[in-house]
Amino acid sequence: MYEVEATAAGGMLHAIGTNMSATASSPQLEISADAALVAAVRAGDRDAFGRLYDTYSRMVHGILLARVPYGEVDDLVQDVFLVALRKIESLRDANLFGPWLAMITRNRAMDFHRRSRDTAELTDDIATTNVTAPEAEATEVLNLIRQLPEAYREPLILRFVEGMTGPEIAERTGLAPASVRVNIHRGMKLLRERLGGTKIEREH
Amino acid sequence: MSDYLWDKTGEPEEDVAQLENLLGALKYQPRPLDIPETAMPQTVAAATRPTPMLIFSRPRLALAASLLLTLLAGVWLLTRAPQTQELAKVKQGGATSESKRTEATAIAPNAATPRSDSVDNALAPKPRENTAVVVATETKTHRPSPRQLVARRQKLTPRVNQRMNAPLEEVAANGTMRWQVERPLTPQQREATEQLMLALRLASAKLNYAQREMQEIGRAGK
Repeated sequence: MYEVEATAAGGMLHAIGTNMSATASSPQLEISADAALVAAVRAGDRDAFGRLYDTYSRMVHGILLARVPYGEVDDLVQDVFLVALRKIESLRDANLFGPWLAMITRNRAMDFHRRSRDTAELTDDIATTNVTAPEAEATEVLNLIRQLPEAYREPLILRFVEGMTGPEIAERTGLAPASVRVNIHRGMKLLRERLGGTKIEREH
Repeated sequence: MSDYLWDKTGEPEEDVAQLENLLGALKYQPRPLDIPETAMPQTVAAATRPTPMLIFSRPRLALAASLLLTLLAGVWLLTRAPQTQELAKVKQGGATSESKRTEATAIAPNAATPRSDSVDNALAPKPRENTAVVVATETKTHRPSPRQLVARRQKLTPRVNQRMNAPLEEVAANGTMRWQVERPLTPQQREATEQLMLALRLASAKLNYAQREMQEIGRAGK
C-alpha cells in the first residue's frame, strides 16, 4: 500500500509504508514563476500574492474539504492564505511554495479540530442544512470519500471536486506523480465499492 | 494508453463522469482575498524592526557601567594618593623648617608648648578657621589642584566635626586641641598603593580596548 505524506517545511518528502521516494517533479517554468511571485510578495507586492492565491486556492480548498466540514472551508481558505502571507519570510525555498502551503493547510485543518473540541462541533448534516439538493447529494458522497484512508482522500477530492488532473495535483502539492496516480486509482476502487448500491448508483 | 481518471485524456468511465458532475458542485467558488494592510511582509517587518534603543542592550549597558565605575575608582585613587603624600610632606616639613614650625604651632598648639590663659583664650578652638590656615600653609610648599583641595577638605572635615562634638571638659582639661594629620605611608604601603594603581590602570586599558573592539564589531555588523 502506498501512502505518501508530504512535509514541505524543509522541502522534504517522506514515503511511508514503501521504499518509494517521492520528489517534487513539476515543470521548471511553473516553479520559477512561483519563486518570482514569492519574491515579489516578500517585496510587498499585493498583486503577486493575489496571483498565488488564484493559483493555489483550489488546492487549499480541496485539502481543507478532505478534513473539515464543508460550511467551514471557505473561511478557512482565507485564513490559510493570511497565515501563509504572514509566514512567507520563513519559506526557505521559494520553489516549494505549493508544498509549503499544503502543509500550512493541513496544519490549519488540524488546528480547527483541536479548537472545536471544547465547543459543539457542527456535523456535516447540520452544517449543510441550507444547501440545495445536488449539494446535499454531493456532500453525502464527500462523506464517503472522507471515510476512506487518509492517503486517498486528498487526491480524490482534488480530482473530483476541484477538477484538477493528476499531474496538476502532484505539481501543486509536491507529491510524486506516481504516488498520486496510485492513490487516485486505489481510492477510486475503494469508493466504487462503498458506492455500490447507494443513491448515486441508483439515480445515475 | 489514455487514462481519463489520471490526466483527463481519452473517454471517461461512466461513474467517473458522474462523480465529476456531482462533486463539481462543491468546488471552490473564487472570492477575493481580503488582505489587511498590516499583513504584508514589509509592513510586518517594519513593525518588528528593532528600535534604536535596542542598540543599548543589557550586556553593553553592564559593560559600560563597569567601565565607568572602574574609571571613577581609578580617578579617586589617583587623587587620593598624592594628597596623602603631600600631607606627609607638610608634616615632615613642619618638623624641620623653623618658620613652618612656628606656623604649625600657631595652628595646632602642642600640649607641651608653654601656655598662658591669654594664649589659651586667643587659641580658642575655631576648627574651620584653622583648617583653612592649614590649607593655606600647604599652598606655600605646593599648590594643590582644586580637586585635591576638595578631597582634602572632605577628609579633614569629619575629624573637625568629631573634635567639635567633643565635650567641653575635655577641651578645657587639655587646654589645647590637637590636630591630627594622616600618617605618612610606609614604603611598603606606598609600594602596595602603586601596585594597585598600576593594576587598575591596566584593567582600565583592557576594558577600553574591549569596548573599542565591541564598537567596531557593532559597526561592521550594521
